[in-house]
Amino acid sequence: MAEQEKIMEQIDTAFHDLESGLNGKTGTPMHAFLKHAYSVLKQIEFPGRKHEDWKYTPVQRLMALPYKLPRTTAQYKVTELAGLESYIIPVLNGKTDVASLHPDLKTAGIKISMLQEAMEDTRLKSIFNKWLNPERPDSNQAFEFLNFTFQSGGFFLEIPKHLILEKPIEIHFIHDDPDVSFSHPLYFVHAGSGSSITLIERFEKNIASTVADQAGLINALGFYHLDHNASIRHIKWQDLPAAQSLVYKLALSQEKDSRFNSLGIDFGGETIRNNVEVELEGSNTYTSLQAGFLAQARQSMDHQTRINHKVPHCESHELYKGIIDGQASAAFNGKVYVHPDAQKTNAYQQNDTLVLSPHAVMNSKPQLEIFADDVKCSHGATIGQLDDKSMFYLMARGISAPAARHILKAAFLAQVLDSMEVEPLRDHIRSRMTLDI
Amino acid sequence: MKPLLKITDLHVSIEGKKILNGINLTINSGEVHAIMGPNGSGKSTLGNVLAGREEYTIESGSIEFEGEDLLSMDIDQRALSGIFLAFQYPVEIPGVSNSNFLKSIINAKRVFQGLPELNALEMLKYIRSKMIAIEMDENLLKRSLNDGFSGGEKKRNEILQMTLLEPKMAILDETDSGLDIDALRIVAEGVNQLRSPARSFIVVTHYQRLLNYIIPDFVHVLSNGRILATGDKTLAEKLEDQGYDWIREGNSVTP
Repeated sequence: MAEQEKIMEQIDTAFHDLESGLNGKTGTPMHAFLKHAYSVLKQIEFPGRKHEDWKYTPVQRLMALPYKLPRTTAQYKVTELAGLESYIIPVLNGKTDVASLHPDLKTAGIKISMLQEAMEDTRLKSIFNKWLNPERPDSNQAFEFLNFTFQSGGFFLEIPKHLILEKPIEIHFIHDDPDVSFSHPLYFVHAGSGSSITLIERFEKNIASTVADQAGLINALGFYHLDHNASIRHIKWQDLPAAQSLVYKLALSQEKDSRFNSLGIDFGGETIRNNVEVELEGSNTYTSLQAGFLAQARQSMDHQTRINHKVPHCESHELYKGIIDGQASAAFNGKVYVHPDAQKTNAYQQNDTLVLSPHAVMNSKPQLEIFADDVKCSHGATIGQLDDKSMFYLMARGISAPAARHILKAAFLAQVLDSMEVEPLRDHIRSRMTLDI
Repeated sequence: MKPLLKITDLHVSIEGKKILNGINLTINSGEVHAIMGPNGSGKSTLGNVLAGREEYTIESGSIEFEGEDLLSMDIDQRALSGIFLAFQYPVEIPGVSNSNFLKSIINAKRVFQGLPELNALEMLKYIRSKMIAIEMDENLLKRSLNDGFSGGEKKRNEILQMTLLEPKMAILDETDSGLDIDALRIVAEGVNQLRSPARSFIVVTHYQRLLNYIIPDFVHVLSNGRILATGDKTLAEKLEDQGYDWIREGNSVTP
């Protein structure tokens, strides 16, 4: 496995750079955590083409780049969205500086601490420890352990019980470095019982950057826990520069009566890998995963979801809609497990794709495994082209062929995008993706 | 006077099957021509070919519109030049709001004519004024284009588009099919309001009923892809009484 060795050599160099930069902070629980993570990473291999869950993500190509650790960036700016007021948490090159966050967050009751500190807090640690120490880690967790190994600026976000925020929380993920480098955002979101928030994740270009676009990898990992009756409306907007790639994982666990509504839109970047893993721990939960994506040129966008129905009376919905053009490729693999005890489960999954070029590729794989007998589950997958009859109808009213194609593409993604409640962001996304009609 | 539309010896096929076998038809400005015929006679094909539907192969023949070669024009160019096809089965497009669609087509036409685009307010005023005339429910503007519309609502939406675009040559493809008598009357009134010396119509229909409301100048009977008979509105009445069989026997009628 020569490729694997080459990858590990580069990682080794980067890890020693990290350790030498720790200065007086060696021997802390954080340092012990990094060393442990690295020892695990060395034992597992990055998944190759033969790995069932990774065959549509070009992992070897992605990891072949000589990534260093990025420098610290101070200045950043993302597109300002008129009319959007929010609590902002910047994650710059993987790091968040909690001390410099706007005091409004604290005033609003949002509790946020650096991961180093949270690690020394037994109460917080008990919440996230299970995620940091998975049983029998394998290739599927390679990127997770890569993230842990280089951890140096993650945060823990706590929404206290019964806190209801009108304004959304925005996390801005920016990777900006003159060299080929990777960054590893790690964050925990703990929504207390009865709390309700809107959380927006924006992966965007630093428009205040002083260096030319350079190849880079963001390896982001977010763990969400919803306590009883908590509610999160989650939005992810990915509009990275063309040379950057993203490996993204959203791991979610839900206690009883909680609701999680997620809407993800992918537009930018080069190689995009999205993993969403949902553990339903308590009954009467609601989970909705909606996603829309537009893959063009040589972009690769791979979506993997896994919903684990472990208890009765839970409902999950998935709707993934993508448009693939040029020489782009995309994949959707939707796993739904309904355990024997999870009676009265409602689980619905739909994946619709438009493939607009003969060189574009889509792989769609619904995967439902149902071990309970009193459930309602359904799935569907369609792959097609723009409808000829619709094209003719629009053009027969004087609309040009490019404009008609544009309208039909926008209409296709509208089913997902229209449900976005944060209007300024929705309008921005429409105009960025030129989906205005 | 130069004819608006001149179809000469038009032969058309689809997937190797011949549908039109030598159509000759000349339409002058201001005329209303009804095209009748049994199922499968090629009535709908003619309308679709005029609008530019690409599934059909033109084997031979020509179509001139205002002296220009229509067959060399793209679908959208034909529409912008003044051809309008009211669809027999209007297409449902979820995700495109009807009002945005109407705005797009009105402004596309205005840009083509070198006129400034209408702003949102002027647009709404213009669309509303035309909706009232055909007793169309304003809520249909907010819905997706034809999505979940009833048969009557879809046909009214076609007439609305025709009214908004003010074409020179309107083709109504079985606009009466599936309409109850009230809807039929409203649709026909919409057409009659648009009748003018500068506008011509081809009314494709299976039944004579519509022609009680839209009085045609000429009635053509199409069978097996050829015009077998041409007459005035009394021809339509005769067809209603006697069916199509007598024409097939070769009793060709000319005005």
